[in-house]
Amino acid sequence: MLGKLSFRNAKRQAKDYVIYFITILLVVALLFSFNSIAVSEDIAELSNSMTNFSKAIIGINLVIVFVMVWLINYTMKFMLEKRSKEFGTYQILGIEKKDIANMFTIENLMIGLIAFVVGTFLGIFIYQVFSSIIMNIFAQPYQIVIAFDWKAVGITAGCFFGIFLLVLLNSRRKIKKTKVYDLLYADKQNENNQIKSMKGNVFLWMVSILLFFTGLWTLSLDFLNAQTMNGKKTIFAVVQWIVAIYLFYGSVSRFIVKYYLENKRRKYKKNHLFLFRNLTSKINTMSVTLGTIAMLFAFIMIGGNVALMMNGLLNNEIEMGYPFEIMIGSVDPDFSKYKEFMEKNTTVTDMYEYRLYNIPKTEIDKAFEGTMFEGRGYEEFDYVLGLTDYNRLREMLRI
Amino acid sequence: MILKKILKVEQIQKYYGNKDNLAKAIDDISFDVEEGEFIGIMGASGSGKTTLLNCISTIDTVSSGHIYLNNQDITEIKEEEIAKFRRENLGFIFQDFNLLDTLTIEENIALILTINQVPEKEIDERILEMAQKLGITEILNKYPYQVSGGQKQRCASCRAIVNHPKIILADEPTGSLDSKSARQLLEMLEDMNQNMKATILMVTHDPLSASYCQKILFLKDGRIFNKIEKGERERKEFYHEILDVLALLGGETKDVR
Ligand SMILES: Nc1ncnc2c1ncn2[C@@H]1O[C@H](COP(=O)(O)OP(=O)(O)O)[C@@H](O)[C@H]1O
Ligand SMILES: [Mg+2]
Repeated sequence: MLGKLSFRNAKRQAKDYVIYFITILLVVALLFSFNSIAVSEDIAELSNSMTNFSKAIIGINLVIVFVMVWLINYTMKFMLEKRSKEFGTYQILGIEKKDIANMFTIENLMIGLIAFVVGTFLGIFIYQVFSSIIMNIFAQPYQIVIAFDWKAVGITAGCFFGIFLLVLLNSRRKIKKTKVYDLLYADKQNENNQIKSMKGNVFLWMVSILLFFTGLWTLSLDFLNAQTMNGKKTIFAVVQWIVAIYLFYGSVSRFIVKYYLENKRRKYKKNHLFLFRNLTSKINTMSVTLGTIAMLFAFIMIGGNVALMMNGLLNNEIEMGYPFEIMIGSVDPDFSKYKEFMEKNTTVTDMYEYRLYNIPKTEIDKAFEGTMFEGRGYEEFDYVLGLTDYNRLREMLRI
Repeated sequence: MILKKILKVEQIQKYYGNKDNLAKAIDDISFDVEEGEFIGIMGASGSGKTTLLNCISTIDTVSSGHIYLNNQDITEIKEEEIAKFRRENLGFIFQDFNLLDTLTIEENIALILTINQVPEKEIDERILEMAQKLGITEILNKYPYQVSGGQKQRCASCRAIVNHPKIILADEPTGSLDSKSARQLLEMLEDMNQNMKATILMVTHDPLSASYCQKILFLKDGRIFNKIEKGERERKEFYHEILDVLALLGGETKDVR
């Protein structure tokens, strides 16, 4: 009987908290797709030259995990509060607290399991999209195959259920601890009471917009001046954006509801009242979950852009550092063997041989400060080459 | 004939708040309930009715004093034993029904029997028998949201009595019902009391509801103010006496519907 009750409750909850369900599902999907990237061999080959990339992926994973901890904890707390009268009723009917806690656990595990399975399948497709983007960025040919990596599934399952179980354990503790009196009389407080005044909402909304722009400004400080670039400002900008996103969703959704409820004509039109009463009762979770979804996507966009930019920088650096197809340096002035080899095995059309001379250390290093060549003159002398050689090399590069 | 005292309330007090700001919700109340009685607790709002009922029903705890149900002191029950105590001894009827809305009416009633480990074969039988007596057989397969408030409360009453608890505790059971359904419910409670030997303790501020009881305790500011018995009188006569006592209680009849 208790099992049946659990099952029905889970079904109802999945319906009542669609947004919660969808958010968990999306989070799992994202987590899975990033994990797939992290364990993917195709992408690992790329990362050999760029270990930072896999570090970034792990970083994004961590962010998602943190968001997930917070989100699951928040919604479970919210559901516990919403259902406190129901739990009080169970207790008063004489069901053991232990059994009530078990029911809650089973219900949520059912929801979590379904979200996990669906989310994983969704994640396979998101992974395809991501990896084709990444392969594109690195100009690698890539064919879409439905890849299903058990390692990624394992890591995702580990993260997800690890968090889920921790939060569940905490909820169980709460169920066992709370007095039946508090459970039965908890529903006296309504979420509606928390709706702030119109002015308050408009103010919060403006703050959110302001924060968005100050975030942008903070970020630009970091990016416009590459010399002083360190992660700190970026992190600060991201924090501002997170706050802005939640404020934005919270204030806008409350504003809409408030606007409708205060205007009687709109309020009683068709089934608006029902709709909006329903909305208000869930508005806090809605705005939080919407905000979280928005934030996750914002992270992905930012992450994608940063990856693109890094790649651009990297390519640029390669172009500047190594502008020729083949460069051979040697202390032995005889290059004939190399020439022979190249003529046999490559299609090189033009070759030029020149000499570098050592001269005592000059002040020339200072000119490179703040550029990517800074710190390269670490030897105790400088190199120079003849002007004719220099002009010839420029000619070869057509500059 | 000596009737068994099923409930003994001995000098209980209940405070809310802290030392500086102490509110006495119950101030030294004692009374007994005998097996098979239908007893009412009346009083203006804020007089402590719900608090008293909550203390008896183990929802709340007393600040001092003792409550014995079937000779067991419920103020000293251990946390681990409370669930067992509730399911074996208490039946509840709440103002807002507290039915579980994911279960059908039948399942709501069956739940009580399953947690009391009644053999499965017996469950259907017992539900059907009780549903027939209370006139709710037609709606057994419906969900709570599909039936009216009056029907919900009849189901809640069925749930409260189906396992034959020592006492049924009802807090304003007619509080959310229209007057017709209220009357039907009260007649049903009367029937449960007279023909099924249920002991019922009902809190109400409605004199009509109270007139169905055999005995009424009047509370004022957390104390027992008066006690009246129906005896062999007609309900109508008893009803008028209730109105008189309420008038005595002091200008608070406005509070009473
Ligand atoms: N949880 C509580 N905290 C503080 N005071 C309370 C609480 N519950 C009830 N009271 C106070 O105790 C008194 C009795 O309340 P209650 O038993 O609910 O009255 P009734 O049910 O007769 O309307 C009231 O003065 C009320 O304000
Ligand atoms: Mg009350």
